[in-house]
Amino acid sequence: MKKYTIHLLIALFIIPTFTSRVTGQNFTISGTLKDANSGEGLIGATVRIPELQGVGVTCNEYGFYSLTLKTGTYTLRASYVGYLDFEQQIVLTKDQRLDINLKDNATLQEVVVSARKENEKVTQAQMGVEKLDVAEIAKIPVIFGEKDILKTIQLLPGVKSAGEGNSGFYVRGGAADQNLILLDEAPVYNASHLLGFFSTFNSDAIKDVTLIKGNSPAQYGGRLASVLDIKMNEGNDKNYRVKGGIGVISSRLSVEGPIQKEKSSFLITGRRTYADVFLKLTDEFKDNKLYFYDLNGKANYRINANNRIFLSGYFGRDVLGVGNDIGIDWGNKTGTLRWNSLIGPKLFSNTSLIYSDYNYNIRVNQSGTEFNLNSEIKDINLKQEFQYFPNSKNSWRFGFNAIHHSLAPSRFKSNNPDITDQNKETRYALENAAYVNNSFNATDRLNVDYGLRLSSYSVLGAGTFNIYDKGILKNTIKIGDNKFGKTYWNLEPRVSASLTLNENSSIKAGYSRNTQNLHLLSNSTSGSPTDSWIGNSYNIKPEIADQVSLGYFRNFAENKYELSAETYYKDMQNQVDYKNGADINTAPDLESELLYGKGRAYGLELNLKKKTGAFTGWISYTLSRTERQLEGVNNGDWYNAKQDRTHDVSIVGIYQLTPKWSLAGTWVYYTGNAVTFPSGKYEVNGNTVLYYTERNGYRMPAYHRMDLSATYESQRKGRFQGSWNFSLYNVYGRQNAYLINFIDDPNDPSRTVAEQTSLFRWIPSVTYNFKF
Amino acid sequence: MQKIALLILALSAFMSCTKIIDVDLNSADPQVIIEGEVTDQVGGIQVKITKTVNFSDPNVFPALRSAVVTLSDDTGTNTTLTETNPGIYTLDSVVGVPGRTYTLQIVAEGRTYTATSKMPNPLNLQGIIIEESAFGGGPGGGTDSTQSYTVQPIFEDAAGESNFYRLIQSANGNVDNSFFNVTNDDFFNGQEFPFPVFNDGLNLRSGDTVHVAMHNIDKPTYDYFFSLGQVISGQSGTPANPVTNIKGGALGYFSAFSVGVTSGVVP
Repeated sequence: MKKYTIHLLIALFIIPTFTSRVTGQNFTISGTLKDANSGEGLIGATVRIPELQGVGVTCNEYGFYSLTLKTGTYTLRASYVGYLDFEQQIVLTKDQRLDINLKDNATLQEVVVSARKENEKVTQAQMGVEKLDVAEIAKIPVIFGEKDILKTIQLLPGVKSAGEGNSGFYVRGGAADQNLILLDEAPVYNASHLLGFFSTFNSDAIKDVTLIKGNSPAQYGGRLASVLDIKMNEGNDKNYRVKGGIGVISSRLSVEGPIQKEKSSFLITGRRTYADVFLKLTDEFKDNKLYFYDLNGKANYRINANNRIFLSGYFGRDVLGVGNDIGIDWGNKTGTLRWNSLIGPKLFSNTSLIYSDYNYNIRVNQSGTEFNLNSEIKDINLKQEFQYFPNSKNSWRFGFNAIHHSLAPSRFKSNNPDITDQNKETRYALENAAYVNNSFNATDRLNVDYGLRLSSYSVLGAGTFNIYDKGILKNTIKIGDNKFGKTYWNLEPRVSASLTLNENSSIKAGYSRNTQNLHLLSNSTSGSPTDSWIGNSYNIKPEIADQVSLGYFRNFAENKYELSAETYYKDMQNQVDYKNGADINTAPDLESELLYGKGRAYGLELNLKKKTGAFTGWISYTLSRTERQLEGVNNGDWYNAKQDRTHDVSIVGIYQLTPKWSLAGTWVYYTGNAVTFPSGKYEVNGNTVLYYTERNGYRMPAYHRMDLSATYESQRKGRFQGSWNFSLYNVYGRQNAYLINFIDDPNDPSRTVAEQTSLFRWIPSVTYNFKF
Repeated sequence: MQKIALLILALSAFMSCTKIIDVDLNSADPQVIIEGEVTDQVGGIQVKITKTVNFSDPNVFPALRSAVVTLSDDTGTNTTLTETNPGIYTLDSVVGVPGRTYTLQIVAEGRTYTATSKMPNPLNLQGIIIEESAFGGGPGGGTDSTQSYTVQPIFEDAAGESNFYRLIQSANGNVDNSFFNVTNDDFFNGQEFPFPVFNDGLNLRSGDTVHVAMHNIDKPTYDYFFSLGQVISGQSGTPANPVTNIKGGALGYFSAFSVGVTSGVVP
């Protein structure tokens, strides 16, 4: 298998060299596509030459395009969803620069919600890719009326919610930590606020959201299941703009504008919840705190036509407190400094210096003695990427990425000298990757996207490392300051190809290998701020996933409808989990509490989408299976993973009733999670104790729910535009099981009963949004 | 952490609801449960053997009768326990000795179960400190609920070795033997025991006498009660049976432990 893969790769790297041999004199037209009003780069906009069948390029993440053609006269057409097409005749006799400003089609946007490129999904080689239109998600109802990209992606095929109202998600049988969540290239280690009911992403600051389900190009790496690539707005470089929203739970405000017109701009967005304001009104909870806030900021500066720098950052924090006795706070910080440089018309370079941090702190004050439990993960990350566009058939990306990780495990401390503080060592590691990826339009009908990523993870000193065999200490290794310990190397080939059958349909196939060097250990049912990240070590090896997928894509009725069917099979190695009865908070070395095993996942994803007209929306259905095998669990047999759900259905509909009113509704249904329930009971010291026979042998009841919303856009007054969003969560009040506890019957202590807890029936909300 | 859980539950209370549901649970073959204890106190040797029942059955746990229960130690002594009550086997003629390793053997219904446990040295319990708890009775420290108290046993941990303790508090005829009150000495090795301990269900009031029994237990016993506490509190997302030191396919524990007792009056 391995040998075959390498041969295939060699063949693929050689083909383009032959087909792209020079046949006459070539010149390059290149430039940037921007929004005419805001100056924002248009990611994914297309530039085409209508007279040349199949010749066109897509703008990169900074709105840059480069197209190399033979000498001649052409029509150049630039287009983007919701914008008027731009056309210009070009006479190509030398390399040319053409920056294009596209005007948004305001009238178009009010009447129809249009798609990106009409048949983009059919023709592009990439598979398992989902793009979210940030404007569209504002209409989809969500809990508490707080529009949220992480909740919306859960409605896509192959993506499952981690639980009621939860922003955690599972992709193709992967666990929640197997998603690489990037905010302006910075990994976000805990993407949820308030125990998962909100995500850390304030939609007002977000420009573009792309989810790649496993078959990611080689520039992405480090997680097994998916990449969620989120890009923040750059900030309007022409005019000052303010937008905001007032909701039942939180309020948002965002300001953007030029620093120097068309040269530099900024964006600042903030959000805060105010549940704590209501707490203050109650007698019982007036001393308690419960809120979160976050801030997004970005600035950019155009040094000259070929160089631009961006600085962006995120800061968010959750604070929870009970009087002066208990305080818990946690949050992420990210910062990204980027330098775009056009080295030549065909060569684009981006250098990024990235900082990510996640930490939590728990403080308990007991009669003057203060106890602290805290943990932190901190990354410094350098990324260099080149994008090379040699001709109209090829585009290349290559580069490297070096990350220095510091992982401080949860440590217990106190101000009482009688209590010995825990001295768990901070772990250091260096994670490196080099990659090359080519998108190759082999023929009019065949597109291939393939690449190779070489990744390494080195344990760094100083540190003392224990080696365990089945939980028993076998050996101890000491590594000096900044000295290299164990290094793991992985070669990760990826390839995906699409073969267009006719104008409306295509088949695609893909294979990819992904590895993961950081692992999140969680022992709770639905993610907790205190779940800890742990890196590879002498015991923990990189997780490896090999995924093959096959898909059929078809558009109907002049691209009004889009149908896709994708299947996948994924094999996962070196999965990590806690052993039964693990001491997760205070064990001196967490690695003694772990088990290792394998996983496999397979499924079928169907999606039918209506993309244009007054009524738009989609139906998606996923049939899947996800299993685990861990030594020492269920006698080493395969068993259903927690996130295994046989059926998962989402229906989303948005209806533009009048130019002012739009209605939206969603309905979801999924098979309950695999859970462990007791198969008997007994008594110890007078307490009833449950007896378990196997892990995840039962299922929670099936989950289903309908949400509705209505959006009213008021008359624009000058620049001021307001809108009201009314939504109702769980319309028919289904009592979905959030927890099932097995307890002594409160009315009859001689018996035991199963008690189901449900959250959130009929949660209405209203949000007022404005911009000017 | 419990208070935090309470706060979150209380906050979501207005949007959550509970109801009793029917869950179709499998039935399992009855499993043998052994609770075996050897202490350094008179009358401190007792082995209780019961069986599991199906979840839907009443909380009546059948005794395993007519087992042959023998206790031996590393000095070569070997004695048989007598069934004084259904499923309860005792041995009053012997008192456990700290430092000895005990082996329990049970032969019942054609199967043999064995377990060993070493009795740690007794600890010198010097008294207890009882203080008002800042946490009050309610989740937010409300004033109208009963004031709660913490109990802090005073004793010194033996240096240079790992020790494990289990605390049992009682007052007014109520016993708090909740499984949370086990600890290792990771945080106070060789020092005075530094933690005030909560109590559950004792409803202490000023003037009450609190009795404290501090068990010096071995590691397998600690592991058993620690993991049992996790099972009972529902803290684990993937609950499992507690880690037992009994070989032969039974659940439960066999523990040889020394006991320190003291008492104090709530101020």
